[in-house]
Amino acid sequence: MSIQSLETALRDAAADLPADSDDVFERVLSRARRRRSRRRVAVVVGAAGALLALIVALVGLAPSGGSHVIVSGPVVVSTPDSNAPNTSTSTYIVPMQHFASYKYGLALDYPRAWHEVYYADTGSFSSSIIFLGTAAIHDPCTTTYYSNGQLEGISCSYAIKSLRPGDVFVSWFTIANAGGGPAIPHPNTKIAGRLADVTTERPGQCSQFGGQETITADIAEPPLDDKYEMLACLRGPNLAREDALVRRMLSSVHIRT
Amino acid sequence: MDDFEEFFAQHYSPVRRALTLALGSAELADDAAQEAFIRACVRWSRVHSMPRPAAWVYVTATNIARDHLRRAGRREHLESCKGLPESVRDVAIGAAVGVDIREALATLAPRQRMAIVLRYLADLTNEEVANAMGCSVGTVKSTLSSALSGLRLELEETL
Repeated sequence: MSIQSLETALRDAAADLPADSDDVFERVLSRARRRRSRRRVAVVVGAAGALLALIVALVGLAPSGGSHVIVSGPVVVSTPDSNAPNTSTSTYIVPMQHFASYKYGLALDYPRAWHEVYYADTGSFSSSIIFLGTAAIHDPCTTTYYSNGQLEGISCSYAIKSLRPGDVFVSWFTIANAGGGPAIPHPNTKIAGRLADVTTERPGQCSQFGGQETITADIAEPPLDDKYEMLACLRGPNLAREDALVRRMLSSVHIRT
Repeated sequence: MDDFEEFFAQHYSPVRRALTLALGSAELADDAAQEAFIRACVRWSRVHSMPRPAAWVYVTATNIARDHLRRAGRREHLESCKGLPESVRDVAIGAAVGVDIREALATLAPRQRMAIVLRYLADLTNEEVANAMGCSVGTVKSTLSSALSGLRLELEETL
């Protein structure tokens, strides 16, 4: 029995099964519409809550000098000073740059000293959103062809080969959940109001590029159980400062449903 | 959403039929296929931009069915990626030749049946089958290999 004859037999067996009911498309469409409208309601309620919280914060802060929102500008980052006693900190003024992906609903601020590169790295269940950092970033995907010129395939890996001293590399992906359970099974924090799992390892998976610290952040994208996935690879000598910048970026994340 | 309607028209029936063969339950196949297409519709802009939207629906539907069976406590279905007991192959070897493909599929373990249907009827890649079944590509390959051995014995007289 060949694979071809097996495929034919399977197709024949499938064709012999009873036909679909007539109204199935309408049923699917109406249930999808109901689900979408529930999402909109959730967004409106969430937005109203956020507005209320902002008003409360403004009122609360006004007597002590008012408040303002920095969307993208310099921020102060304090880190433990590795050359001083434990109680000491180093403070940096860091100009920030704003990034927003309307397609994936993700916005964040990152240090202006980093560069921003986009390469399409799209698999069946994941899509690249942006690559950031000071490291040399390259196209993570390679297309190969057979000798007759026909496309053989596209394989994708990491977008960096190595980190130089002081380098940072950050990648953001969106991962589609294919119904295999919750997107964030073990959340340990919230980012942009969403359940998130942030982990730090030294060196972690980034050691393959010479990295000394790996920070990963998975952020839930309800109600569809998708998630955003951030990977940050850091290399000293200023690990504490780089770590603080990555966390500053994470704290700036906004998600538009 | 016109292209979703076109996508649905092209793929719903094949997905439902493949799941029916794989799961042996038309009712569960209907439910899983419909839920997968609802999810595809809700996130259509994203699913549409994937290289193989139909593969996403197959994998999603399979995972939905797997979750359902897990919740229902039917752990023998698609739950484990462990190797198959020899007795499963013994059943296939001992079965009479001359049966049709559905009877031959019925002699396979549920995981073997699912792997065969997803790989050779739905035309998913080994990686996609692994994603649908929650196991490694290596396990998919070995599951397919043992399933094909069983099917060859079952069907060599009829095909």
